[in-house]
Amino acid sequence: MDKIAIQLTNISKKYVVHHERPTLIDNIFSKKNKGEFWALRNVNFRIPKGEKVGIIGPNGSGKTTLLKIIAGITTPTTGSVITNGKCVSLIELEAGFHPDLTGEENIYLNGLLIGMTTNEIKAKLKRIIDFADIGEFIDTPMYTYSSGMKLRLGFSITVHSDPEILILDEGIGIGDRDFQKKSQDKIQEFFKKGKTILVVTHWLDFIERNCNRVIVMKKGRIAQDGSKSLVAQYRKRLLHP
Amino acid sequence: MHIRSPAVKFYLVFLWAMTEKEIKARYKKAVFGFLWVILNPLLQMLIIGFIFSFFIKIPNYFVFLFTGLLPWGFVSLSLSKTTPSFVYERTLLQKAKFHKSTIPISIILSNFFHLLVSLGFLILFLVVAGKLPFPHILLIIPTLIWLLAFTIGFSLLSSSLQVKFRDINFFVQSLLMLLFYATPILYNLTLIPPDLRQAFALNPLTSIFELFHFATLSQGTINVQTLIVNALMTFAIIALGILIYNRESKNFVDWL
Repeated sequence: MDKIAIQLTNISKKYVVHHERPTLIDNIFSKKNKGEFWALRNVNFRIPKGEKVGIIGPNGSGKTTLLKIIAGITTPTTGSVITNGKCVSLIELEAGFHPDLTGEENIYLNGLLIGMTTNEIKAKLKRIIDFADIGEFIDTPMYTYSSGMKLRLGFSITVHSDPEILILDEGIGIGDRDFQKKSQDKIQEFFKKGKTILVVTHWLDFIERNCNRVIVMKKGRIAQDGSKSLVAQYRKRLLHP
Repeated sequence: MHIRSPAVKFYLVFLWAMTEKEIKARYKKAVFGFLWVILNPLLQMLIIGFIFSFFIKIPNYFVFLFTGLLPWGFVSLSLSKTTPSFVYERTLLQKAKFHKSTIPISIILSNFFHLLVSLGFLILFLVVAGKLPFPHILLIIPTLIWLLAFTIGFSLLSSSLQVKFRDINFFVQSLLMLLFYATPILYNLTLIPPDLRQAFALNPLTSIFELFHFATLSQGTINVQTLIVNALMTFAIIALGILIYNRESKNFVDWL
């Protein structure tokens, strides 16, 4: 059992479709029939530790919802999720930074937020700062940072949290050209290290090059689950629908 | 403090970090950060005291007002800041899995810290003036805990509902306006005709503010019946707050 990184059993996710922001008054006085939308229906899979999984499919097929459920950001309507090990996603990298606090203060806050301990952050502080290439700005308040610097710092904190499961949702290349190379290298390092990785992207070449398993989603269900030869099939279908 | 459970310990460490952020951020913005904590209720006391001392005859009315305005500032600031807090922090909620309740509770704790500082000034003033009522003043500790518990319970309720129903904030704003006059802040219950005093039992803040006045100035009386009703209502609000938060927080992200 301990070789399993992620196990999803009968996962379904229902969203309530509302055309305007709901208000309490509306809810009490009018019984508008609200639409329902199933973003995921009965999804089952098991990912062993160290597997690199690419998830592809058209827009609205439920890929991002699936990642959010695995990361624990939202919960499924039915079914169960089991994840073994720290799970971190490279999304909303700048979220949680407070503009009035210094870079260092923000590193502590953000590190705790994604599940690091204070001692762990203390030990990795220098590496985080060096990788983000923030320099002397580390002691100045965050509002003086460029957006590139914030993104770099967010990325650096996330990758140094040393997750066992890494989730990549589109954001594969970030920052200026130099940092894009650096972040790519870091992600490649994760791929080589035997970490469990889930990727959602429309960049099919990336998946073909880096993943050993491909899941094709269609209308909230798993359409295909297999080796990376599925990417070629998928590409063919895109060209000749 | 030795805490065995690592999960509880991590929660407390994270809550403390969030609270520290709130406090630090406030003082980095305003040079006179600390001064404002005390200046704001002081100015309110002066203007309200000037007007209402024509109508309300309470000995040491200005000090009386101040002891009520401090906890009121805490309640109103906390509730108006926490109610929309989950909505404001939407990107944070979408980033990672963490204890979401730390968002409103850290705001409340930072305000509570400011309340303690300004209460310290008040007590210092009372000591210097030779008016500190002992042992009445010891009552301030359970009163503060009650106030804190009420505020956390109410804010868990209002902030959780605000995610789904965006008009909750308007309710809270107008409720605060009404509560300012419906709570014994500008007056105390001895000024209210006895038949009407019963109605004050419906406001859970009544006993908290009467206790504040009693603890710092030994003014007013504590009605045990009102106290019990208020305490039960506070428990109900806290229980409802935790219940709604637990039910709704799992799916906050779907509504943001």
